[in-house]
Formats: sequence, structure tokens, C-alpha cells
Amino acid sequence: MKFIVLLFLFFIIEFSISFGQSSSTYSRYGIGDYEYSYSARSSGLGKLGVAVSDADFINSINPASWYKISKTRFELGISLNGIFVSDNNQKTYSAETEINGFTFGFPVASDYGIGVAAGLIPVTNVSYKTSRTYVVADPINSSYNLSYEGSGGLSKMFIGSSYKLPANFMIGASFDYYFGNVDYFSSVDFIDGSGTSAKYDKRIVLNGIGGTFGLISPNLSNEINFLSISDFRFAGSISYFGKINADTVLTSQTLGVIDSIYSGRSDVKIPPRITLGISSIFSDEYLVALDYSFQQWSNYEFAGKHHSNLRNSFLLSAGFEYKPKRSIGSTFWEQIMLRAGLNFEQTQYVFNNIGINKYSVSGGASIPLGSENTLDISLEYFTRGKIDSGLLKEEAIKLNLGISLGELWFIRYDK
Amino acid sequence: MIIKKIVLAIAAVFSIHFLACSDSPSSVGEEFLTDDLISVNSFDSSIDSMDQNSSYFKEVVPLGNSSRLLLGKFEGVTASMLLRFTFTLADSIKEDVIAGSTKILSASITFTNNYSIGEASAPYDFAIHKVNQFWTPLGFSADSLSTLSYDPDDRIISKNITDTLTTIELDTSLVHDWLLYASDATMGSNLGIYLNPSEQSQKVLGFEAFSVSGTNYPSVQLIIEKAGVYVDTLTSSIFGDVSIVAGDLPVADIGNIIVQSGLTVNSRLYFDLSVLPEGSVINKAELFLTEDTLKSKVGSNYSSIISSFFVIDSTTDSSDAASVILLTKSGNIFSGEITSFARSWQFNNNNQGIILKNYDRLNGLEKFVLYGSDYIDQQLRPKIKITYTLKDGL
Repeated sequence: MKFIVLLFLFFIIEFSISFGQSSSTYSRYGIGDYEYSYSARSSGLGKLGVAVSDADFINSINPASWYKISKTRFELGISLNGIFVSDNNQKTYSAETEINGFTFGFPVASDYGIGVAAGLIPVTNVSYKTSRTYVVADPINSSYNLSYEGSGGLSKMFIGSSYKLPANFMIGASFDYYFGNVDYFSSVDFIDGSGTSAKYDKRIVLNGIGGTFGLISPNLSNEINFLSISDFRFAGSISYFGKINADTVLTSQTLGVIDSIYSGRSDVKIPPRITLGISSIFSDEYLVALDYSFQQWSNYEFAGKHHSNLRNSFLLSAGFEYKPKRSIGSTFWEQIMLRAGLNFEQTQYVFNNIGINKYSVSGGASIPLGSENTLDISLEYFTRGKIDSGLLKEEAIKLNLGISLGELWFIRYDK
Repeated sequence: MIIKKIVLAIAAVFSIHFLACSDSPSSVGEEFLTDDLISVNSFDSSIDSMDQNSSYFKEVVPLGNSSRLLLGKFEGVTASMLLRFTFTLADSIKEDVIAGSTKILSASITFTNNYSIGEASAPYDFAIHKVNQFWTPLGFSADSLSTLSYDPDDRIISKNITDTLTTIELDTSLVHDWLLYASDATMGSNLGIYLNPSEQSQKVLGFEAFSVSGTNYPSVQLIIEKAGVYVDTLTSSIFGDVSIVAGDLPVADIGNIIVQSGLTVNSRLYFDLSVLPEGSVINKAELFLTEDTLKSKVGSNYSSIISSFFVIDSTTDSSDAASVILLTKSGNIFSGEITSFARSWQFNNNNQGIILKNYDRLNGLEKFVLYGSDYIDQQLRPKIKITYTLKDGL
């Protein structure tokens, strides 16, 4: 355990000095790229898995899945993104590391399907950097760089519970508190220092509330009675965004002097995200999950205005997981869980009347660290957009690392 | 052990991936940032329209801190001087002076010349008067001159002015009084002398004034005799000196402004920066002042620099002394970067302009005549050139 703690400290220190970008200027629109998954586990499974319930995994998409939490569990996810962004003329590479979030869950009353979970996870992400040098052939004015940077995003802090209904239907709900900052920087730096640098910072501070509601069907494998299916469920969840406030401040900065140009409060209307899916377990070891998630970004509003560069989005996801049965005497290699997933996303972005689509393939594994703990790894490759028609193409590799720690807490001993 | 190896391998991959340097940010995707785009622009008041105004005024200041003493007349300006010497005497001499047993054989003042303005051959003369009132170098200015009390008698016996030295032989009775006062303070006070140029003088000479580091400041040498006992040479130290430069505000051609040292004359200058777009950020602001070299007058030794100050209150012409920005001369143009002024005007929305002063304003009579805001030729007027950044969508 000490080794694991030291390892994570190593990464946290490393991340504290990280810089770069994990997306392109596409993320300038709306409130950035939607983050479907924060954990290496769900990322390796194709990002969704709304119908997946696992005693060793806190599924942040569907609160109903928490009924299966059998031990107190803590999960943490971090990632490194290496991304190539190209247009018709050039291609650039950048890397960025991120602490994705963490979740905490514990069972309350397994007979009633009551499990409680809480956490802090990302919802959207804005991350881009561009820079261009302008050469000025003027004896008085020097050449300069114009740089643009976007960073930040919306995060979610949640707490919720699951509950078992009659007929073994599982429901769950969480109270979500949304918050975050998004900064859009525009700056000029004179190359020979003949002029003083200047920076504009448009900062949007977001906060609001919402909720996530989920439902998981009972095991329908007996009704299907197909092959060796031991578990078959369908599920759905909806993430509802309530009133989100956006406090916008536009400032200019130069020589340490910050001048406020504009400030104001606006309402942000984020459309709800609905996710539907099925999961099936074969031979007690093989999980297949299929999901569909959509969100009507065309209804997105900022200060009462729609954004013409946003459209409705959806994500189609398929995932496969091999989870060997636990048995006494299993070797280390026999305990490793394997995953693979792929998905297609029609993103919310549309430019030049051309929609931006994303294709992704991922794989991963969970390495056992004792009986209840795992180190989760996933590697995802995706491509988004294209370089035709004045658009951008992103090609990225995302390495996710997660840790899932489980312990028996809150044990009541019979007298 | 296997677990640790795997984890370490993952850590290594992360680190290698992380340490593989990202490219420098490129312009890829910049075209998607329409609302955030910024541009760097230039504004030139000689090309673009901008209101400006200028004027000049006299500011009487004590010249006691000057390292130069001025004496003479030049173009309506009269420079006179107040000097006071102190003597350190041996007790035996003091007793002899009090007893009246000494005689001063000769007394002279020597000045080291280091400046002149006006034709070298121009007439030049002055008188020395005994002062009857107390004064201090930092408390006496041209405004004090009208009430100065001094004896009308000229106490000069002779004078010899060369290019490097000015030697004046004094009335020994004047110096005798100084020795007497130095020997017995109850006998009276040495209030010094007043050097006043003649009406016919048409030039001003400058002499090295007292300074801590100086060696050639004015001194009095005298030869004292006690008949049949001794003949001794005494040298005094200067105790206080100040020049007084008086004159009316000079008249410039229409639209022009003046900065002049000694007198002293300053100028006000104002540019209306409200023409810059709202929300713009000034990256650089440069001021250019064109000199009318035919009207300017300079002496033999001066600095071609004008000091510009940020005005705090234009109604009283008060400025921030710490804000000085120097405008150096190239050709007939004084220029300097006044970015901090312009940015402050913009940021605080309070622009009360600039005050221009001669950089060496205590040590000479240099008069820089500058084309002002109302000069007929717009290209010669004061010019401000601003580089500023502006964000789209403001």
C-alpha cells in the first residue's frame, strides 16, 4: 500500500508541473468537450456501461448501479493525453496530464439495494493553445506573438444512493452540484521586449445544481435463456442540469495591472443527457455492454442565446470485459481483468456546416493489488474531425490510470 | 514483486510520455477563436485624429541645490548670487582681531568658471554688496529678491575674468568684519555678499558652486598682518551659496512652448487618449517633441534632455516627482517612451497630462523652444505614437 501511495504522489507531483493541451480549439465552443468517463475502467469499456453493475466498481453514469457495492470503495483516476492537431498546413503535438476525479462509495443495506456514493468528477473540458508570430518590418514596432489559450471546464460533485424496488428493479439518484471555471486567454508578447505584454482573460465561473437518475432492470437472463447468459439487464439514466449560473468577467492585464472591462451574470442552459444501454454476462466471466447516449446541444443557451456551432450529440458505445472468477489458488496473471471498447460519437460541434465526429477504440486491464484493490489501466486512441473544408483533425492517445481500493468498513458484529 | 514491476513500468511509460516535450504552440485552429482574437494596432497622432493642447509657465524654484552659480544678464534674464563664507581662526588670531591689532593686506574671491551663455565678447560686469539680512540657500528664490536688504556700495576693488577663473579683489574692510564676527559672535553676523550684474551685461557666466565632492568652489583668500609679529594667509570656506535667476516669462512664437532651466520655465502637454477604442490595452506609447533649434538658446555646457512628469493635479501643475521619464534628443527631436503614463491615463480614466521640464533645470539657462500643439504645421506638433492591443467583440 505504501508503494501505491508513493506512486500516486509521484504522479501528482509530476502533474503539478504539467502543461499543454488535451484538445483543440473545437473545445472553445459551448462549455467544452463532454467528459463521458473519468476512470480507466469505464474508458477501457468504451466509456459508458450504464447497465453495468459491479461490486468492485463505482459507476458514475448510473446511480442505480450502486446497489451492488459490497465494500467501502475509493477510486481515483488520472490520465495523460497526447494529441496531434492538424489542419491543411501544419500538425502539432501536445501532451497534458490531468487528475480526472475520484469517487467514494459504501454499502448501507444490501438487502434493500442501498448503496451510497459520492465523488468529484469532470463534466466538460476546455483545453487548447495556439500561438502565431507576426513579423513587423517597422523600426519602431517589433515583431510579436499572439497566443490564445483555453482551460478549465465544468465539474460535478455528487452524492446519491441506490434502492431496490419490487421485482428487483434498481433505481438510483444523485444530487449533483456543478461548478468550475473556464478561462479564455488572449495575449500578446513582443519578441524583443520593446512593448509590454498584454493579456485578456475572459473567465466564466459556473455553478449550479442538478441531478442524475437511473434505473436498472432485474436480471432477465432467465427470460432470454440464450447461450450461457447468466446476467442480462437494460438500464437508463438521465443527467439533468438545473439552473447553472455563469459569472463572466473580462479583464485586461498588463504590467501587473488588472483592468476590468466587463462583468455580468448569465444563465446557462445545458440540455439533459440521456443514456440507455444493455449489459450481458456470459459464462459468469465475459461482459458485453452496449450503450447509446444523447444530448440536445442545439438547445444549449448561454445568456439566452443559442450557439450556431452546436448540434445534438450522441455516443454509441460497445464494450467487452473479461473478469475471471475468483478462486483460491489463482495466480496473479489469472486474476487480471481485461477490457476492450469502441465507440462512435457525433460530437456537438459543427463548423462550416460540417459536423465533427469522433471514433474511438480502447483497451485496458485491471491488475490486482491484493484481494479488493486493483490498478486500472486503459489506453484509448481516438480521431476527431478532419482536415478538409478548413476543419481540424485531432488524433490522440489517452493513457488512463486508476486505482480502486476496497475495504470492509462499518461492520456490525452480532453480540 | 510482479505488481511492482508492472506499476513501475507504467510509471516509466507515463514519465517518458510526459517528458517527451510538446511542440511549441502553433497557430493550428486559431481561426476558430473568432470572439477571442486580438490584434495589435498603431496610433500616430500626426496621422490619426487626436486632440492635444500645450502651454508653458514659469515655476520659481530655489537654486540652492545647484552645482553651478550663475551671474550676468542674458535675453531678459538676470542671474545674481548670494554667497556667505566662514572662517576658522586660531585663538591667537581671534584675540588679535578682537584687539584690533591686525590688518588685512588683501582679500580676494576666486571662482572657477565652468559655464557661459551669450556671446563671449558681450559686455559683462557686476558689483558686490554686503547683505544685511539672513538667508538660506534653499529658502531664497527669485521671488525673495525684491525684499533683499543689502548695502548699495560696491565692495569690489578690482576683478579679473579669464576663461577659467574669475578673481575679485574685495574691500578689506568687508572681510575684516567677517573676521571680527568669526572671532566674537557678539560683534555681529556675517550675512554674506550679494553679487549683482550690471545693466549693461549681456551674457551669463557660471561658476562652480559648493558641493560635498567639489574642490573648486568659491573661496576667499586674505593676507593678514600683525605688525612686526606675523603675516599670515588665510583661506575661507564657503558656507552657503545660491543663484537667483529672475525674469519675465519668455515669449514664444504662436503655438510653441518652452522649457528653460534657471528661470525656470516648464510646459504642459495633454493628449486626449479617449480616441483609443474602449477595452484596448496600451503596449507602448512614445512621445516625440520637435525643437525649433533657431529659437532655442543653450550655453557652453548642458544636457540635451527634457524630463517629463506625470501630472497629478493640472489645476496646480503638481506632478509626481518619482514618475520622471527622460526624453533624449536625436537631431532636433526629443523622444521617450511614456507607456506608463499612457497606461495610467487609460486605466484610471484620469488624464491630466504631462509636465515637461529641463532635465538640468538648476544649472544653467538653457531654453529649449518646442513646436507646440497649436503650431501651424501639424507634422511639427508634439506627437504620440501608441501601440495597443484590442480584443474582438468589445
